[in-house]
Amino acid sequence: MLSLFPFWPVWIPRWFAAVFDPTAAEAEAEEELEVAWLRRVAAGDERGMQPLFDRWKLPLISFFYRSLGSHADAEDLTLEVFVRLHRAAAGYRPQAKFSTYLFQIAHNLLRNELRRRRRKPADLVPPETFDYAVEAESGSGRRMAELEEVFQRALDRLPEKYRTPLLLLHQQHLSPREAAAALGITENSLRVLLHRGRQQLKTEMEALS
Amino acid sequence: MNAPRRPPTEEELDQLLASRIQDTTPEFERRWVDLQRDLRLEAAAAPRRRRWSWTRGWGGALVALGGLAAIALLLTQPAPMPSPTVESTPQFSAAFVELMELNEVLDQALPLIDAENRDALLYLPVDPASQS
Repeated sequence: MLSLFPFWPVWIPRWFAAVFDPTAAEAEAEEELEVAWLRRVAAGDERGMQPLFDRWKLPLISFFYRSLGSHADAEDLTLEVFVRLHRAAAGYRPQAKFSTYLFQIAHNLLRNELRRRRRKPADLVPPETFDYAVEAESGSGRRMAELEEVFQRALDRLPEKYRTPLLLLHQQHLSPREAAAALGITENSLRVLLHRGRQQLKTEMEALS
Repeated sequence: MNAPRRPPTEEELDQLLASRIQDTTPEFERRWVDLQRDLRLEAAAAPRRRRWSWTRGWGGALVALGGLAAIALLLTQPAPMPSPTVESTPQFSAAFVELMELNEVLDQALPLIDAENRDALLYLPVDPASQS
């Protein structure tokens, strides 16, 4: 009976996902596309880099900006991620999600940068730069703009071990499992860091308010 | 810095953490174009890393196994048969065996009949008593 459906383990879950959870199915399709682009790069077709860059440039700049408080450094590190990705393309094995792999690279670069840099003057961007600014006319948008500077300064005061997990989950929408894999820690450790990080962030914001 | 009048709520904190930069600068895009050109040149200059191929991989493994098998075969081959000697060939007659032994002993005395000794041997007096 099974021999009549040789591909059942593959297509049945996809069919269920497409019908019952279309968002997950779309994410999976996008993931496959990203892996395919990277394989094209590995095969020598450089055109595969452009869609990866278009898809990930803003998430990466946002991640590095929130981590470093410097827009210029965020741009530098984002470009460096794509250099590393290009060089590692031939050796890439899709054992984890592409986003996990990408943020592993980003996290390593960030830690190197934090180790290397002395205290730099903040290079803050105005609140209009952020996506919440589209709601600027509403009360919510104005309130976010009001909180922006205090929020960024409070983030700067947060240790990296607390800040990065918060950003990976809230800003990059990685699941706890993916974020833990990107950081090389267990999910339990991640939960502890998230809880403490959030508490400390609130305390810092209250202190700066 | 215009400090906000009240600290953020949990929802506002989530919103701030989730916020992303909306757009890149033209300068950043220009740098990307330059970087892409450099990456293409780098890829063209560097020898392409060979990807793992199952056929190539298994082929190599089979060749290695074949080589090992050949070495093992050579090492475990039985020792060559010893050349037939007088001791190991009892089928020869006792007289023939005695002749062979005599030949081996006399073979060592061969230098005695070198050219310089030959004349002396020719003129040796014959003792009839020694004849049996």
